[in-house]
Amino acid sequence: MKYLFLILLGFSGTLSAQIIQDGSIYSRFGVGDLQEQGSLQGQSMGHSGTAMGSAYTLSLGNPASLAHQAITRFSTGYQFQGNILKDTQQSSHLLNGNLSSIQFAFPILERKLSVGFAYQPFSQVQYHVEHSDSIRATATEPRIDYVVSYEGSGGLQAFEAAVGFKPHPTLSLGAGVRLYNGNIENLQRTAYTPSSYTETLVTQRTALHGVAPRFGLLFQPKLKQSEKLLSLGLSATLPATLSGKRLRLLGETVDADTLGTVISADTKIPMQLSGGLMYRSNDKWLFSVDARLEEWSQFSSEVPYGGYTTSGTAKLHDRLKLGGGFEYKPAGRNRFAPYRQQIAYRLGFYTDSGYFEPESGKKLQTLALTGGFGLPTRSAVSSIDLGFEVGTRGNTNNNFVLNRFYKVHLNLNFGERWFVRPKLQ
Amino acid sequence: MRLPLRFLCLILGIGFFLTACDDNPSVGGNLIDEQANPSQRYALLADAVTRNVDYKDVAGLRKTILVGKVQEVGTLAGVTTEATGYMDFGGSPTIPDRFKNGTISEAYVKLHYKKDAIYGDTTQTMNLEFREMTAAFNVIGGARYDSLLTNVSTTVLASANHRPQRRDTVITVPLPTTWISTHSDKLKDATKFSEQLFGFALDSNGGNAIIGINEAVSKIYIVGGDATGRDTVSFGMVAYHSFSKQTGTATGLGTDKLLVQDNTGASYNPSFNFSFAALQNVAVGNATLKIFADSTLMKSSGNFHRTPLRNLSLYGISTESGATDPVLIATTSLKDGAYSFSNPTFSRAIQRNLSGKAVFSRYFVTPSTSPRDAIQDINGNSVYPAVLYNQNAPADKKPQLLIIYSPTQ
Repeated sequence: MKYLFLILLGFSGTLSAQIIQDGSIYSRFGVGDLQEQGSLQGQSMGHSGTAMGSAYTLSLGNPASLAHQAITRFSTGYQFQGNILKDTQQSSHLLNGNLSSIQFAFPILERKLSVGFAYQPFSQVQYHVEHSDSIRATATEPRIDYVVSYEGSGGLQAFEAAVGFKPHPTLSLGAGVRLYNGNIENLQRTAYTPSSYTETLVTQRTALHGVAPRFGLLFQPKLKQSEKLLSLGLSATLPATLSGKRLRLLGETVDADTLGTVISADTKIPMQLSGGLMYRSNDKWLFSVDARLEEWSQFSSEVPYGGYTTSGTAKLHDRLKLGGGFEYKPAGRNRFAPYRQQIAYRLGFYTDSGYFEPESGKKLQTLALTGGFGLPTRSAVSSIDLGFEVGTRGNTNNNFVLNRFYKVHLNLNFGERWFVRPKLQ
Repeated sequence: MRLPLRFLCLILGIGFFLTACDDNPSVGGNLIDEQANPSQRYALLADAVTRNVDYKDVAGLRKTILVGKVQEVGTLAGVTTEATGYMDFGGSPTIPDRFKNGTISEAYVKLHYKKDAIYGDTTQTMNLEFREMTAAFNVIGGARYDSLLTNVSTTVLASANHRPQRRDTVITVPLPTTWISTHSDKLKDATKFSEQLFGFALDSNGGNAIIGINEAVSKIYIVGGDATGRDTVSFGMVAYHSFSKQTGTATGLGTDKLLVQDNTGASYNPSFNFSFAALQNVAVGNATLKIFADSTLMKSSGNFHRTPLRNLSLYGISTESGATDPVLIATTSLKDGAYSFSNPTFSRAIQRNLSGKAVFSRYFVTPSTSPRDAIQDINGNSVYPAVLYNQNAPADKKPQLLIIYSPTQ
């Protein structure tokens, strides 16, 4: 597994280098498109999973779930997304792909105390919109055509370290820190038709970093029937004030000139709460629902963002996300059953109110159907997860854009016994 | 239990294939709102324009030899320009034995000029005067227009009256027999001719014109031989130079125009307020320096023939201390009554001025010849004029820096 780990690290690097920049125009609002933080198992079940905690999956979505780790686990994933954007006149099909997460955890006390680390995008800015126009140099001269490209890239990354502890067989607690770090770049490129004109490139770069504490809780009461499991999960990421610098650059990166002065500005990322319920009726069926509340109305910054002004004329709003789904595994825990029966089939649905308003008072609702497969491997502690998602966001009213999207996720999960002394020599 | 490797590879392959696809994004422009900064234009008018006589035009290697003196007429009256040409002949022509061993009977110089190589009055007769150069002059590397060569005999060797013609013309100037007999041995031997004769200085005493001699076809011809026959041997120009000087001012131009004439060292120096608030922190797509000309004053007037100065060059200067040479930025032609300078180099330079990180502290405009490189010469030597409007001109004629830019905030 160690070799595989290294190979996958390299593989992950390759994937991250292949990030394609064309995504939804809506990612230019706020700090970008917010990314799902849980495991792919939970994402495939309607973005639920706060109440999930087992020895076979790894998720820092709720740090308390770490307490269930029995072996060292590593997980990495890649996400591919297609966006079909449509307004009242035309449509566009844009694609992007990126590394979705790297997670690592190892137990200190088997199924009681574990430490985990994760790196995953918290938000992503990926858009590219072009606008054509013309201008006259003088009243008597012919018009000069030009194309302005508005491009966004970057986003916030979340580096996490957490510890999960199980003080009681029915209760797990978790705590950790999330380090936000990243650059959000909004670029304006103007290309003129005459060759004697110079293409201008102005980049607004906002660099942010800060720390937020996280807490989690998992309560799994003892049920009369041992094959059944009920789990209640709660997770909270406290507000974080991110130190930031915003500057405008003129030209390409290598010889860019700074325009004006660098602005130092704090940005407050609000509290994020999630609660979930999971019920496993037997080895085959598992149900999960989640509710997430993020207080983006408390977002504040000393510099404007898309959909947010410092004067208060435009503000972000609280985000409410509700989702749920189920997993069906025909073979249950029987590893001698035919392969297809050992696959976990997942389906779910979620709705998301979003956290920004392209126009004051006009919210964008997201509705999506999720699904996926948990593919077992020869190793009982390793698996491959495939996830799928189709959904819509917004509409074509009010000059908005209807964003239909589809996502394909691939997650590789590996487990190996490290640090833990075997009970039998 | 088998890992469905083929299935996995298929999924990955599809994923990578799809991420390589793209579509031209044009949807969503309405959502850019406050980020949207369409291009704008601004005409920054020159605060001031000065006419300096500090531009050091290198005329030595340029292919037209200026000769004559002209006093301007009309609106430009008050300005006098005079020019002296220097020429040396040489080479290795084939010299027949009977020429070498015979007697030189005749020597003359044929000077050619083209119809547009005349500036001034075509009704007055010029008296061209040749004086012998007493030492070699070397213009390799270039000599400035104001370099007056000193090794010139004070005695007029030969002269010819000539009324300037507005057509391709040849002037034949016989050289005196005394000079022929004095230099007879040198005239019969190419090596001695090249090494011991140093050419002529050519002035005009009289008339009111400057002509531009074409060095490429103008030659000295020597006729000699014996009883068996006579031969003509010619030597082309191997060195040449023009000195020019301008005095006086054209008071008739008023306060809103300036005269910039080729080979006089005159330059047009506009200055702009690069700290202008509306242009701070903008991204310059194009900058055009537009200088309007009064082309009617640059053309012929009656019998006084003028050719408008076709090309002007824009230079940038990094420091006022003179530590760096002017840098040629652009050359442009007169079009629709104005000289317009615009190219990416100039746009980038103006961007730096507006950003407070200037590469050039100031700019100036002169007749087009690089101070260093005669190959960039377009017209050849001339005294063609450009009459340019300055900051006192009417609003639509003021020199302006036209900037097309994208606001950045």
